[in-house]
Amino acid sequence: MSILQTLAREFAPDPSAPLADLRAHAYARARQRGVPTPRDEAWKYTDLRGHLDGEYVVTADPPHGAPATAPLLDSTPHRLVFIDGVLAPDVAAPALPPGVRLRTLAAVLAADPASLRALMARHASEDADFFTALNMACARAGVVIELAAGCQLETPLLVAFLHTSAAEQLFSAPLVVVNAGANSQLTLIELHYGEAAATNLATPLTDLTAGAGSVIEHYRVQLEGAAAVHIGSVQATIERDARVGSHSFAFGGKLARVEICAKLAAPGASVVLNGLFAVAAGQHIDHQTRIEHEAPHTTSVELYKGLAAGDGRGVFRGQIIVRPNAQKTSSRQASHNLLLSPFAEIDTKPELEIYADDVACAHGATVGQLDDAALFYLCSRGIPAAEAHALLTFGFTQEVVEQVAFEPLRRLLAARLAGSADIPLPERIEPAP
Amino acid sequence: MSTTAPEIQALIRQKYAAGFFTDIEQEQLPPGLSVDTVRFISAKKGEPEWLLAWRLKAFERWQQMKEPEWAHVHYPKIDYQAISYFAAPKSANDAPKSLAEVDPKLIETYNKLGIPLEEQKMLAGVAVDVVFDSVSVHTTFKNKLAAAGVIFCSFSEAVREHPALIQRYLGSVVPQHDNYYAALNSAVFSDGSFVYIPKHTRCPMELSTYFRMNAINTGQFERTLIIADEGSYVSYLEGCTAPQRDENQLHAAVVELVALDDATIKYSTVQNWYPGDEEGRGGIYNFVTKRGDCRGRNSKISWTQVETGSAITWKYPSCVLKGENSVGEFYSVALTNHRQQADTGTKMIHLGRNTRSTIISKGISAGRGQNAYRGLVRIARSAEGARNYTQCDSLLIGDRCGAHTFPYVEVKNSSAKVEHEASTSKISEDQLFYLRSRGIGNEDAVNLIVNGFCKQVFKELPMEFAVEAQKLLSVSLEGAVG
Amino acid sequence: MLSIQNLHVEIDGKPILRGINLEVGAGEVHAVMGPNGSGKSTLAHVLAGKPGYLVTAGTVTFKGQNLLALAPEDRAGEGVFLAFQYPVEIPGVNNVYMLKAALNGIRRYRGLSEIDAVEFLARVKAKTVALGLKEGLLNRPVNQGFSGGEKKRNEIFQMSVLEPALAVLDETDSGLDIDALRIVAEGVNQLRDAARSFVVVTHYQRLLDYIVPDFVHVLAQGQIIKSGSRELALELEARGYDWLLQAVA
Repeated sequence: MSILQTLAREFAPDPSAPLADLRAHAYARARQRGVPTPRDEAWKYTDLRGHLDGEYVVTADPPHGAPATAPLLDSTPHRLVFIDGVLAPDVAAPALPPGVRLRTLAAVLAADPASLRALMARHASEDADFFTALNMACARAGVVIELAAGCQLETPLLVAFLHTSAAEQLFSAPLVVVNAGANSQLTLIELHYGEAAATNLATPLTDLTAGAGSVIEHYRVQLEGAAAVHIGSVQATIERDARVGSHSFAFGGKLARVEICAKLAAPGASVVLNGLFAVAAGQHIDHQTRIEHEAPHTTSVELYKGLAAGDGRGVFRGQIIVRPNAQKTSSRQASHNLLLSPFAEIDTKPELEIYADDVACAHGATVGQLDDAALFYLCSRGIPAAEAHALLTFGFTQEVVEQVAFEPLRRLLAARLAGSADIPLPERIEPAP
Repeated sequence: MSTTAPEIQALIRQKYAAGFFTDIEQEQLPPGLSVDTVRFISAKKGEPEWLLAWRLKAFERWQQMKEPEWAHVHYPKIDYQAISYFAAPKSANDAPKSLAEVDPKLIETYNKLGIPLEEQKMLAGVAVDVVFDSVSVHTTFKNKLAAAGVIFCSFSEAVREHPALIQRYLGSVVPQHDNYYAALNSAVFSDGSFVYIPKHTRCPMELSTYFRMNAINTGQFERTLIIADEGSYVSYLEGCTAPQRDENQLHAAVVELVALDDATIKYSTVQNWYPGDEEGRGGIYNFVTKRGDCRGRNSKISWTQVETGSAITWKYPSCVLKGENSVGEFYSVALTNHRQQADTGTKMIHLGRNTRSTIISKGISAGRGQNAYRGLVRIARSAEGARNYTQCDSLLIGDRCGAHTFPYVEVKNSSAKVEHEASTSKISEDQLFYLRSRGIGNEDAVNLIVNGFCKQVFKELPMEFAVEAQKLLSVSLEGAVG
Repeated sequence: MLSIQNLHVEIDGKPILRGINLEVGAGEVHAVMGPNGSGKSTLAHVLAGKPGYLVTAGTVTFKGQNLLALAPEDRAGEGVFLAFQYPVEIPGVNNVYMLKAALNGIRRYRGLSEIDAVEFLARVKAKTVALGLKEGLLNRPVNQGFSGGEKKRNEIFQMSVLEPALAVLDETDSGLDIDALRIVAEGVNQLRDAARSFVVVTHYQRLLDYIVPDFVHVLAQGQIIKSGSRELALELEARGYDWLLQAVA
């Protein structure tokens, strides 16, 4: 049994469903592409064989409905929580300010499906890869967020996808759409959380459009269960003078991957890509980022850090593409990784592809271990070796964590990095204030 | 910005200086490739049965393989049946015993190229094994090398004289089926160079081979094998120019290096084959497999290359670092101009403990040239304490060229340290203005800056080669003063 | 020697110089002073021919020639030298080699044969000693890894080897301690003679204690608002620029 067979069973096209034509098209596209293999350059270091062979179901039957707990849920009043693909009834949230429109995907499909046509057509086009097409064919849980021009939402929005089911292998393809109008501002926290025993497969897609002069801060937190498979994607289009900050934190799943693509579509557009992943025994986490400088005077800054412990494997690929005419591009990228165990592995592949001449682009990548001199220094001050290790490892991640403006998340990361079995947190370290 | 553009354009539009064609009688096989072609080549060279069998096996494997498409290069499909796989100067039948017996036209060709065949090389203390199309016709300094126990001869001669060494090492670094072009070469290789440096011997001179392709539609399939036995040292120089023509020429060489315990091999290349014209017509397809095997403890293999020629370059001189404490180095300058395409770099495969590697790559793109660095650093689980440092810089001249960097870093050992740095920028207007305000013309200023950019690599070349390399980049002599 | 008339210059459409008039005779030293942003460096750059500046009106005549029509290297050939405020680092290019290329470029421009290597080295050695320059700096890449003082000294060293007819010193004193300043100034003074002229651009009069100017000009908002003798510099030192700006306004 494979994901495709599951699909064939579960997604028999229903011509009366909204957007049935596009769904069918996306489905055909996914079948045509097929599951990627390591022969595809983008999948060189991630082998899906054996990871998509579950007996998937698309809805838990009957719905579990159990109230789930997860980190960050109480961090903001504006939240939308899906439990095993079903929208959880929530306590009454304060009304959103005017100019912010928040609708579930189901609501949009029921009332206003035409508004999704362009987006779906784009993601199911000839260029769409297997998982994007898959999401377009199957997405049910999800949310569409629209900000009117000039609307500045001060309070962060949280969209959480929680997985609790251990009995059935739940397949979900959540869709998050953000349309930020000119000069608007939004902080979005996207949480993917699974309980320890959850065996789900998730293929989420996030589509961000940052209109002229807008600012989107997007925090993506992946804390799936240890047996889960998570293959996600973030696609951002950034217009004139707009800025997107993408922060990706990946800790969960047996096999997890995120693809983050930022298109700098107009002059003055900028993007910051921040990322941190930690793999422990039995884990494989892959980050693929792609920054496309399509217009002159665009800027990108990228920093990814990776920790690999146990026999875990961390993968990073960062593509920076500077198209012809994208003169005066500035781009900096760094991928730094720590190997914490003799059986861990890191594969990193920073790439520059440059077709314009008036550019300043640089990338750097390192794979190594903690600095012996620093370890010795700490030990000579009376700190036990294990603690010194933890302290330095924690310090290694701070450059990324510090850039998190949303305090509850920063606290969670500190605790998480400190709490991992392979990286014990010394008592004296306080989470960043 | 636009004020300097025309001058730079003029500079990069320089004509290929080594373009002329020598009219010389060739014994040439008609185009086509089959089992019979392979048999013909082997028979023509009077090869033993085992080598024919080896070639046939390679041919069989090649037929099952597909031409690779992953490289960042684009070219029309090659018709392998339209290529002639054997050409030899006629006089090869009764091989010349001295320079006087060599076809005078040949000598003239070399003189036009400024290749110092005898006197100059003798002064410089360099032995020359000249390959004209496919068969070696002349070797100097044999006696001096023989006194040191060094074997430096054509590949064909080595097959006759040193079959045990050939049988032992041929294909031991680059297996027949390693890749499409290596398989093709294994089936139809014509000739090349063989070097053996005995134990605890420092080769008394730099060994140098000038390759030159000449006959129309003749694929070149050189095979080079260098073995440095325990405690030995050798520096090998390879340089190439080719006459101007319109048809594309395929070149698929294989170079295998073996360094045993405490041995060092330094392999330097200046490659200046015909790059095609401004519109991308003609030019050499350079699909080469070069690999060094640091088999012994404390062994070292160092590749230095200056690549300015060829329409398409597909080349990754690599080191397999098996021996404990072995060292691999790769220093490269690659220039693409007009419509040249290069996808070049290296692979450093760390297997042994405390193995170290350094990669310095300088790419220069001008005109509509596309220049890609592709490099792999792999640290195997067994490579305790391995180290790599990679620096990869690209310089852009003009707004229609491209510079690309594709490093692959794979680390499976937690005691390893791998560092990769890369930058891409255009030639600096501030630097240009500074030099011009001192009275240096724009063209010279560009040359100076380009030369400075490449310095880290040039200093790895033997002096003579460094000079030639600078000339190739249209650069005046730097460091001659002071 | 140098005649600047009604010079108007723009950068990216923004006017920077708005009608400069300046006459520099042979053997004269002119100091151009002024507050930050007054256009001093622009004037220096325009004289040397730095790209990116648009001359919208006016003329610059040097030894009877239209200087503005010449490429930067040809201006050097005519004898113009600019000591940069921020000397440029050029990795991999040897300092002395660059200088030899420059000297030969200038000689070729003047129809002279290239300089003999021995003669060149002797000349370089002599200047090195005269300027108290560490010999190690000669063979390093141009300005790379030089301290601020070393860079400025290197500029003066280049000037002394190239022996220009007109030297434009752009804030050569900025960032120098008093010892370095003295050495740089001595280097300049050694070159002063009846045929060579200097335009010394500076913000502070400090440098003028060591390089004594024949004339002092105050540049503000793209125009020379006052000219005078050395005393003007001393007055500026004592009273600042504001009184002058107000007086003009």
